[in-house]
Amino acid sequence: MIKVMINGEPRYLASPSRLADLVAIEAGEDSKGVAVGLNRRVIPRPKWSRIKVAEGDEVEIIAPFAGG
Amino acid sequence: MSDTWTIEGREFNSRLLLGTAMYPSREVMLDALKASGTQVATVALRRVKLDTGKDVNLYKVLRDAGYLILPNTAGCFTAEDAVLTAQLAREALETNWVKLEVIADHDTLLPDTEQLLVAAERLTKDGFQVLPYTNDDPIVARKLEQIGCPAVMPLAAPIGSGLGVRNPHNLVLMRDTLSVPLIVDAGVGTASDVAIVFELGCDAVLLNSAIAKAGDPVRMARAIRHAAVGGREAFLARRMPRKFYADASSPTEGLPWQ
Repeated sequence: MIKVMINGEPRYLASPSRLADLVAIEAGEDSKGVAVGLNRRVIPRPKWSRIKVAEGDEVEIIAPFAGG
Repeated sequence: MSDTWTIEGREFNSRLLLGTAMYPSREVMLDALKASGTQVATVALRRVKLDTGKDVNLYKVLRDAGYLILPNTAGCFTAEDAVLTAQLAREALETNWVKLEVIADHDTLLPDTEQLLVAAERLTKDGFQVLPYTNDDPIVARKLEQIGCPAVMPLAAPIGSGLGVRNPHNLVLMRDTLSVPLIVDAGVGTASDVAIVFELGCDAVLLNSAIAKAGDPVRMARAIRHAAVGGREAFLARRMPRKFYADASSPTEGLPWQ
């Protein structure tokens, strides 16, 4: 069991998940318009399926919302 | 008669840029955008929430309607946060354009221009087209232009205040000293405020609350569209000089019984 922070909330994962899997869980299968940050670095989309999160990682999954 | 303007080689017919927040409904927002004639819609970037999900629908409807989507860095208080948000926006929306906001505090929402200049320089070096929301300070505006920003966006008044143009003199100073487009961002409250911005010679207006918080947002969008045209035409027509005393318009000679 590893603990990671996703969008500021603690999550406990049975095994190290790929970023792509976390995005699918948090944002749904259609990830158009979504971006991912890992430990305050932006991770380009093509790398989501290659990078696995580790204990203590801080993941941000963001999308556009109404704004001015 | 065509009266277009450009940012970094991209030509626009409309001189209005609209925010997408605070409308009574998604439908009213889309109708208001259409009524305003805008070609650019701004969005914020926020964490996807498990309960409400992401607002991909917003991204999709704006994109499908043909708007240029301009992400902002609203809510950032440091250059570091603003740079990271802009980089996330570039990844999410596949655009290197960003409306750069670095705010000093919650009460005034005024720009922290020291942090703004730092962020503008870092993002410009990173390949962004930075459209900075800034104070109505001609010197900061000049520095932003020197950094390489393709437009500068001074406020008319604080965000969401609807107070109208507080410092017309500084806007004219900026207009006279900058080569890049001057987009007034924030503070207009109604159509006449927008007309004044254009009469002063500014190139465009970015607004949200004035339309979204009007009693009839779609009608206000239409009013502001007309005001923009009226103000711009008045600027191009070059207004008459102001005089302290009256100057009769009818002939002063040939009056009967005199």
